Amino acid sequence: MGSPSLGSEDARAPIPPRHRWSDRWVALVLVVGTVALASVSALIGQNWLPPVAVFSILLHNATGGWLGSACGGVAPSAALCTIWTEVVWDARMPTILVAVLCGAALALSGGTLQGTFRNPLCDPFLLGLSSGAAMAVSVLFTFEIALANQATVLPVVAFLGALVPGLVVYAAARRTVRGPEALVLTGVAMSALFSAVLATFLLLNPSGSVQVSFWLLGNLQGETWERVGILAAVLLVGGTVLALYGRELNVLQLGPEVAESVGVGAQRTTRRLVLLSTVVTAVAVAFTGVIGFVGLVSPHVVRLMVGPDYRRVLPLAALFGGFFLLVAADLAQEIIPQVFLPVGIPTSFAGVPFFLYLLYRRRPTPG
Amino acid sequence: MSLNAPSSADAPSGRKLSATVAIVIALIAAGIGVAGTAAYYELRPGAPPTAPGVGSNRTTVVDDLGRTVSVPLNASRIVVLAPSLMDIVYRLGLRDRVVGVGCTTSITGGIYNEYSPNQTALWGLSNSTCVTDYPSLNTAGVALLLPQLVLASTITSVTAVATLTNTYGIPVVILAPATLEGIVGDVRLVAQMFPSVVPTALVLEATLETTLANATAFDNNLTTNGTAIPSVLLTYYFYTGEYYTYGATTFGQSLIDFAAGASISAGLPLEYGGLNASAVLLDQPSVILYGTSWNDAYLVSGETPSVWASSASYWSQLNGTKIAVDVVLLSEPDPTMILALPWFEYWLHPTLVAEPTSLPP
Amino acid sequence: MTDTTPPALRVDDLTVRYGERPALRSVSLRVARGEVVALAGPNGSGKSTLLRSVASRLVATEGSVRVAGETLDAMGPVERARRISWMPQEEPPGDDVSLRDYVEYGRYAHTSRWVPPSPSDRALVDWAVHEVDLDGLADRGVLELSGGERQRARLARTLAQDTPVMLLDEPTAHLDVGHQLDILERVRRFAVQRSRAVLLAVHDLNLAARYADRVIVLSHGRLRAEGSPDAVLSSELLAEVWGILAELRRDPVHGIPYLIPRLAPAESGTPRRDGRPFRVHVVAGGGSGVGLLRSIVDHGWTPSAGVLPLFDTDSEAVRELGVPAAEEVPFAPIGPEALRRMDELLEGADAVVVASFPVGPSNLANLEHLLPWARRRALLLVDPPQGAWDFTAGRASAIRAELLASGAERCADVPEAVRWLERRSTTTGAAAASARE
Repeated sequence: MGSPSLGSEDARAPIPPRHRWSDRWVALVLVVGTVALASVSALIGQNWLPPVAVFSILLHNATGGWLGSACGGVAPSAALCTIWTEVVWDARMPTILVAVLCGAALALSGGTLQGTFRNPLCDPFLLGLSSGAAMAVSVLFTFEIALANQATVLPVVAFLGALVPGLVVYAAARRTVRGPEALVLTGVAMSALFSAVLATFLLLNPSGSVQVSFWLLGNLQGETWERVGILAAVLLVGGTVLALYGRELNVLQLGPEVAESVGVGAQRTTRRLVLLSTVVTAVAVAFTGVIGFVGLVSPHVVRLMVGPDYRRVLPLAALFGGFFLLVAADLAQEIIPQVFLPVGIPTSFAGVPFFLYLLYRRRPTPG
Repeated sequence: MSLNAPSSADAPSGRKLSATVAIVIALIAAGIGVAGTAAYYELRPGAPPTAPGVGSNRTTVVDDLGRTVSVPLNASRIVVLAPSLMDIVYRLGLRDRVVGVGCTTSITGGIYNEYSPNQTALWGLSNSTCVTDYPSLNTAGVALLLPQLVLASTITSVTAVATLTNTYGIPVVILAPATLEGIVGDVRLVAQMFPSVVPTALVLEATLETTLANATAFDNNLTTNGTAIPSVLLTYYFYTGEYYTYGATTFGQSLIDFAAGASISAGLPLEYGGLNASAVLLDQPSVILYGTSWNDAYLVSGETPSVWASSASYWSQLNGTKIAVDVVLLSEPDPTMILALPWFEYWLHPTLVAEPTSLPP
Repeated sequence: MTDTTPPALRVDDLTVRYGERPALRSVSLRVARGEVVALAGPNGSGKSTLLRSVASRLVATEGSVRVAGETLDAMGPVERARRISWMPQEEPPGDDVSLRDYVEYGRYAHTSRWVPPSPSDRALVDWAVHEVDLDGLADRGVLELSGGERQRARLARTLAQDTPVMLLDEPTAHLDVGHQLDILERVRRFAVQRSRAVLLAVHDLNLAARYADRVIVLSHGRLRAEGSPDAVLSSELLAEVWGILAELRRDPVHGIPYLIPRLAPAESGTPRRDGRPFRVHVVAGGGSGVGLLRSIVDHGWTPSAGVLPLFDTDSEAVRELGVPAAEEVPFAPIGPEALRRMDELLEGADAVVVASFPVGPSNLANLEHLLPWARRRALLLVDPPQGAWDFTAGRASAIRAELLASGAERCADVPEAVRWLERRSTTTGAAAASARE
């Protein structure tokens, strides 16, 4: 060890090592918080029900009838108890679960796209997915197609509509060696195109525009266990796969050439991530419309807490996104009594102040 | 310098799961749990649920949208989601079975937004009988009233109807008359579900059909005489650039037809829609029937209502006879509209018809 | 004694085009295990392109690359990454991950997503961080590092990748001298003791000569020369490929060649207002005039010098700069030929500066000869050196005093002298002519 100390630590003293919260604790807090909030959210809705009954119903049905009693003994009649159970378990619970699942999906997708395109402003709808879905849905409303079967047809149409621009970008990714900027711009072009078509349709039928606008802001009403099941299956498989790409996303931040030299097939990985993210987002959009801000903010909030390592950011962003959207859904039902607002409104109201607080509370990271 | 660089050929030792993998597995487990629970509840015996308190007497009806619905006979608790349907219900003497009506949210006026003072007084309604139905229907609120039947119009969203039917097991019958004859058909349909009021229904049907027959005769008379039929614009919302009016296959058109008029919006493809301001100015309808809010003092004075101040210039360029009509008469396809036909005939043909003596109830 | 083992790295006829323009033309090379090969060449010669195209398949290439006999084309990125590692010259800054995590990226090809890095992986990362002398910063974010530290971190990542072949692009750029030597020393020992093949691109030919077994010189995308540093580096090659004038010497201790660039010869000076260049004559010796001469050349004035003894340092400088000078055989008193030449030069000069040098019998004549010129030319005497400088029993001091009395000026050091010259150089031609008799 012949060489003298080369003095690499001399001028470093003033900056302390950054604060990072342990990812295990953050995960635990988020999981516990989400479960607790989910239980409390069962109390929230357009109609008041006795809390004792609500929690009894939750306990009773969640444990398949083993624990608790039907309505906690406070229901005036068996008929009313049945209705109470239906309201809490068949109407509210699915809404809560859809909120959590979709929030997680959007957060995962947003975080993935932010990493793939090395752009902190990416959200899940970057590639034009929202415009594609909105355009497809507006076709339904404008030409009043399949009104009777709307509940089944709408999600399928929205899903296919969301896929189209995403697949165009995916195809472009196959053929080009260009960097992520070209893909992002392709997505922007898709978005502009579909928005223009959408606007045309809306001009044809202004009354349809009200329905589309509603849907465009994010709609969590009318959820059923059936939809929860489909969503859970698709989102959790797709979302889990996405969450496992943390290592690759980390390396991709150094550019495609470095990634290749270290063993990450940059083009192949980018394509896969775009495809997966598109499918996950499209499914979320199909069931709940376009809910903004969740996918953009969740990864950033998590990064502020545990640092930029995608192996931690992606799973924790999913957890945070679920919690966040649930909070927003609760607010959406409570801001105006008796009215279930589109969820996109409270996501912005709830998200912005929290994000600003977190951003300005921590010391700024050196450039 | 230490060259004892560990060789990467060593087999990795110690398989401790990282936090990431643990979280991912937890997510998968949660997902399986959720999906499994979902499946379990879909396959739960007894689904879909049926509304409680239903008697064994049921019948099957086909509603105006072609849906086949199984409903209890003489249901004792019903929810009515549109004022036009409330009209039928009241006239058939079923008012005391109504446990809830649809209203906009109480913040923006509640019941007083959808029901005129006459209606609230006549039908004995108040905010306490309200179930929010705008911007979306409070389905749980409906269910909590333990109704056995829900009468709805097409304003109720498809999602809400599906929730009521599938989640709560409450039969929903949708009444959506496209013509004035359709209104009579709806009376018949309701009577089908409430056999106890059939006598009242028969009387009502007879009255309505007589009125319609008279109107038809009057119209044929005019045609035979070769009298000019006035062109009519029927609008319930006067807006700069667009005149919201009724399309070709709506009860609004039917009304004008029966009143022996020619609607200038007969060619409109959609149910509700706008005519271009310039199109209207070109057509210059000879009679303009415009609906006014029942709270509007201008109903009495006959001047342009203030809510349309921005359209004042357009308004002044219309040369036809402008007649203010209670918007309830124009927008609700119900028996009251039919019974008001003599008034419409008078407004369209003031020289041929005597002013009716009584205002419709 | 034929060695049939394939070389660690073998590149055949590698051609790379950017659009229509070829950046590399049919370059072939071999690197054996345990060998350090330096890739040299001026900017744009294709060094980085060569390394980049061997390392990653994102650049369109013709030709083949083989590692230990296996073609890289058929392999997936993970397999390739286990055989070749690449330290790029620069890369996007990325996120502010900790240094340790950043270096651990190099282990990507050896780890899986299901299992965290094993203890041996972690030990390798720690070792790599230690090798580049960044131990104390292992937990800091990479964005907090200075340019040189970031570069060493990049090298650590490459080391952590632990491949039989390593490609390093300018590993010593941005590093201070201490780290430059330290890093190359370690890389070389690593290569030799662990039988790795290292191909590194360098700008500094002295470092290349010192640490590489072979040097490959690229010029305009083609392979120009290849061989041991001794064989490859020559003044002619340096002039042809880099366009510089340099002398190659041999380090007496290690026998390693090193180059000394020559000073650029003086170009014609910027003329004064009257169109004539400003000519300065410098009287110096023993190295005292080099600084002055260089300043004069830098200012664009025309220097001359004399009388200087041959092989004196100033004489060497004069030769390099191409400055006209009066010279004399060393250790001999200044003869009439030299003095006559000095007169010629003084005649053509606009100003005269006497540098600060000790005076002895052999160069006393320089001062004596100036006496008659004191009133005819602007004369500046730089103060003599500290301590004993007059080895002529006081004669030099007396002459000096007499020169000052005759109108010569004095100044303390070379910078003052230069300022004095600047002032004089802006005098108009008429005034200068009148200063001359």
